[in-house]
Amino acid sequence: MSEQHQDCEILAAHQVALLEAIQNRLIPAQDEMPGAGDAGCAQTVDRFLKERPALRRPIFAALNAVEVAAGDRAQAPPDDEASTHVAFLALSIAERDAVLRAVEAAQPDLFRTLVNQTYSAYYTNPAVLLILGWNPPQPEGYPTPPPFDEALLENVKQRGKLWRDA
Amino acid sequence: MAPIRDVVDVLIIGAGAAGAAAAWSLASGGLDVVCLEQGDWIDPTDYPHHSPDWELHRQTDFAKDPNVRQRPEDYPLNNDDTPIVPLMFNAVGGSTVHWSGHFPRFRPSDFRVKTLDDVAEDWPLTYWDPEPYYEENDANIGVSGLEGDPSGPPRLPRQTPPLGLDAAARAYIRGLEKLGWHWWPTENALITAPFGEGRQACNYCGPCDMGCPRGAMSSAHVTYWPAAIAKGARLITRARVREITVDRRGRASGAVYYTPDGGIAQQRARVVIVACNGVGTPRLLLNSVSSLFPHGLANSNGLVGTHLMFHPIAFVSGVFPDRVDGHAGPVGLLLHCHEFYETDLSRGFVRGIKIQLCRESGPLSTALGHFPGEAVPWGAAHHRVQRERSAHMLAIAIMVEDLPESHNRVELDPTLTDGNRIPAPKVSYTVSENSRRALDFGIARARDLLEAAGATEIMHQELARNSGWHLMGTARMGENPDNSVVNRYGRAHDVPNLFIIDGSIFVTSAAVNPTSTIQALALYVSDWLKHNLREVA
Repeated sequence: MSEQHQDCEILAAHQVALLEAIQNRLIPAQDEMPGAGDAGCAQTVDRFLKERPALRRPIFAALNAVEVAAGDRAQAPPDDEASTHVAFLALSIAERDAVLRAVEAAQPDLFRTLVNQTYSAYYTNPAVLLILGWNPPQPEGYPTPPPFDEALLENVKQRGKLWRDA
Repeated sequence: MAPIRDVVDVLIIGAGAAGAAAAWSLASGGLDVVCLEQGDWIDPTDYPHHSPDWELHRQTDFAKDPNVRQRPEDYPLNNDDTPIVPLMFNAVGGSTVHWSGHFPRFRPSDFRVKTLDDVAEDWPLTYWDPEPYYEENDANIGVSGLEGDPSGPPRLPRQTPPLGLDAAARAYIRGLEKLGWHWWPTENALITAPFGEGRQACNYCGPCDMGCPRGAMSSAHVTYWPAAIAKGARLITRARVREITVDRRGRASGAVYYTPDGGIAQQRARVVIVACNGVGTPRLLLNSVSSLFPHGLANSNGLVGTHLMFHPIAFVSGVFPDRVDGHAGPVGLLLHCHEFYETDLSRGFVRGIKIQLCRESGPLSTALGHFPGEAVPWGAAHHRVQRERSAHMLAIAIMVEDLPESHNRVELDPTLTDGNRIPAPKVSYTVSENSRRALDFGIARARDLLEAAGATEIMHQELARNSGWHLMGTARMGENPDNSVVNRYGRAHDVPNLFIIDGSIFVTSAAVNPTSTIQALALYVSDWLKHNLREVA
C-alpha cells in the first residue's frame, strides 16, 4: 500500500514527490521566483483534489502517464526500492522536460489539466503573490483614474449619426 | 412579514433582473406580489475579493458555469450538443449578481430586422415602445456613462459619470482615432459616484464577473429588491418551482415548489409571471405538463424552447510594450465601438457586430490565457512571458448578432435532473454560417485595432465556449399565435393570465448585451399589467 504524504489527504507520498518534481519543471525557479513544487503547489493541488473530486481522475492519469513515460527512459530500480521509486526523479532536467513534452503531445487534455491546476496553485499562493506585488482586489481596489475627457470624442461627434431610423 | 394571502395578485418566478424590476413596479402599483426564487441572498462577505486566492473562485463557487459551480441551488445542464455553454447565477439578483454590467440599449433597427434586412422576424413593437422604460430603469438602478453617443438614439444624462481615463482607455483611443472608427465610453450598470442607499462607488478593483462586495454594480439584489420589498413585495428564497399549475379553464393558478427541506408547497395567484431567462423559462414551461397542456404550458405550437439565441463571442487579446494595467478597472467595461453595427452586406454577413473594448484580470487569468485562449507556456520561458503579459494585456470581445434558428433549442433531458429530481435542460445549438462570418470579420477588425493601438503580440480565440451569458429567444413574442409564444405584452397566447418577461421573449438578439432591454421590457409589461389587471386576472 502506498504511503500517505504527511501534508496531503488524497495524494500518496510518491505522487507528491512526482508532482513536485513535475511542477518544478512547469514553473521552474528563476531569480526571486520559487519553483512551483518548491512553493508547495503539490499540497495545494491535493486540496483541490479533496474539494473537487472530478479533478482526481485526470490528475492521477496525468501523473501516471508521466511516470510511465519516465520509466521507459530510466533504468529499472533495485527491487527493494520498487514500491516508492519515482522514475521521473531519476532523470536529468533535460530528460524530464523531454518526458513532459512527450506526454503533452500524446495526451494534451490530461496534461493541460496538470498545468492549469499547477498555475492555479502557484498564482493564488500568498508568498508568490507577495513577490509579484499583487494584492487582493479589495478593500483598496485601484486608484481612480482622471475623469474622462469629453474633448477626445470630437472626431466621433463630427461624423454624425450612425444608426438607422426604424 | 405580513402573512401571505392564499391567492396573491401576482406570482413572479425568478428573482433576477426581470423578476426584480417587475416586483418593484407591480408592488409600487399596490399589487400583492410574491416572488419565488430557487437561490438565496448572497452575503456580501461571501465574495472572494478580499482573499489572495480570489481568482481561484472563478473555477469553484463563483464560476459562471453552473455545471462547474455546482451550488445546491444550481441545476445541471446537458451541454453535450452546444459549442457555447449557457452561463447563469441562481440567487436573488440572478445573473446580475456576477456580470460585466455592460448596459447598452438595442437600437431601432434591432426591432425591424425583417423589414430592413429581410432576415428573421420583426418585433411586434418598436424601439420607441420600451424607450421610456429604458430611461426609467436607468434612473432606478443607476447607470454610468455619457449621453450623446451618435451610434444610438438620444437619451437622458446618465446617473453617474463615465469611467475614468486610464492607461487602457488611452491605448484603445490611440488605435481608434488612428483608424477613424466610432467609439464611446461604455454605458455601465455600475456607479462611479454616490448613488442609492448602502452602495459605494466603484473603486476599480476589477473582477465584476465575481460580483461586487461594494454594491457598485447596479445588480438587482442591491437596486430593485430592497425597493420592491419596501413596497410590500414578498420574496421567498430557496423555493425551487417544479411546475406552474392550471385550473380547469386552462388559466394559470399558481405554482408548486420545493422548500429547502424537500417539502412541497403551493403558491396560488391571479396572474403568473415567469422570469427565469432563456433556459430556465422554457425548462419550467416544458415541465408544466397537464391534461390541458400535454406538451408543456404555452406550447400548443411547439415553439417553447426553440429559436435559442446566444451572442457568439470571440476574444482578441493584445500585448503592449508599456503597462496598460488591464486588471485595474471593471473587467468588461471601458469603451465600445459600433463602427460595424448596422448591416453592410459587403462585409459578407447580414446584421452587425459590437466591438467591446475590455481589460484583463489578475495573474492567474493571464497565466491560464483566459481571454486569449492561449496560456503562458510552461518551462524555461514561463516567467519571462508571464512578465511580458501581466498588466500589459488587453482583451477585445467581438459580439455578433445571433439570428433565430428553430433547431437551436432547449429541451428536457430524458435522464438528467436537479437536486429535487426535476428534469434538467438539454441545450442543442450550432453557430450559423452568418455568425461565423461575422465573428471572423470582427476578429480581423480587432486585430487591426490592437495593431493600431500599439500591441506587439496579438492572439485570439475564434469562439469562446464559456460565453453563453445571453440566453434569448426560447419563448418569443409576436402578434401571430402560430409563430410566437407571447404577444407584445409578454402575455402567453395560450394562457391569458401567464406572462413571460425575460430574455426568452426576444424575437432577435441584436448585437449588444440584453439586460438593459430585459429590464425595460419587464417594466413595460408590468405597466401594462397594472392598467389591465382586471381584464387579465
